[in-house]
Amino acid sequence: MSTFVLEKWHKGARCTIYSIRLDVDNDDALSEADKFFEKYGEIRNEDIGNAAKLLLQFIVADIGDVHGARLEFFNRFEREANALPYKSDKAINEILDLDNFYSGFPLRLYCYRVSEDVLVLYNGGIKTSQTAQNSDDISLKFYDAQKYTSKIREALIEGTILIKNSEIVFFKEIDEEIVL
Amino acid sequence: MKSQIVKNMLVNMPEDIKLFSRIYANLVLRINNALDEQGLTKSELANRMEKRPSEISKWLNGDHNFTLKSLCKLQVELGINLIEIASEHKIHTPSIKVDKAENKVTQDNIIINIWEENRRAVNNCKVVELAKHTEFSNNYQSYGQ
Repeated sequence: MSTFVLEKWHKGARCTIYSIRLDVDNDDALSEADKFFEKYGEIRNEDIGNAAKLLLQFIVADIGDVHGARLEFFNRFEREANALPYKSDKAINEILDLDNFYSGFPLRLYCYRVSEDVLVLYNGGIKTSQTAQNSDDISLKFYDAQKYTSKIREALIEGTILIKNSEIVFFKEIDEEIVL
Repeated sequence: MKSQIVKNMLVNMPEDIKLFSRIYANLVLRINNALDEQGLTKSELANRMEKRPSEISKWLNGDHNFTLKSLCKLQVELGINLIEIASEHKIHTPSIKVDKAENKVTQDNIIINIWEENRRAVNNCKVVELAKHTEFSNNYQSYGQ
């Protein structure tokens, strides 16, 4: 598996949000989260564009700055990785219509909730099928998300990287770019 | 983030989306918090609510099933407050004044407009229990122990 850079994407008051950069040699290359929001936020389809904006607002303002990456927001576990938005219990959803923000919410963004104050965003796409694996736009990203998460989790377990003051740092060199 | 496009999206975020996101986050936390405090499962809560329709639905009077999305849109469009939810911090961190001179603790009003059961649970908490969740916890240690 190719390497990637784990880079800070948004430093919120309650949560530091990271994304990954696949172009290891180019510091100016966009992260996967930037690519996701650029692609779907600027899309001509208004429903999808607004869905991307809602995800962006929720992640930056409500997770990053107000609440942190509370476990309650991440009950959609897609194997190793997580996915946003939140999916509520079916019974309660029928009453409050809170599933996926709202019925028919079209996007999924893969991520890894490391802790309440550290979140890593990957890429995502449009959910067109019951399962992520069968949705053309996100099936590959789904599998990539599992691989990225495994690698980050292993590095945390092995102690190659650690969480310090709500940030991910290398064990030896705090200021070093984190390439995994 | 590096993308100027994404930064611009944040700067120009529509107000109804901001409102939706904020209320949604608070709702999710409030629901889970209320379930925890009352020892209810989600299905038990659903059953309870089916027997007693929510205050919002009754207020809007009808069988019309307003979604949160439509409520937020409506609130922005009409410029009036249709739904107000105290943030989790307001529930767990009521303003508590510690007056050491008079050796008493007073609690400011806690405004909670939905989840009546949860409101009663909060109001029935002992001051000591409430103070555990506040930044004043160090101050109250000397009170009433």
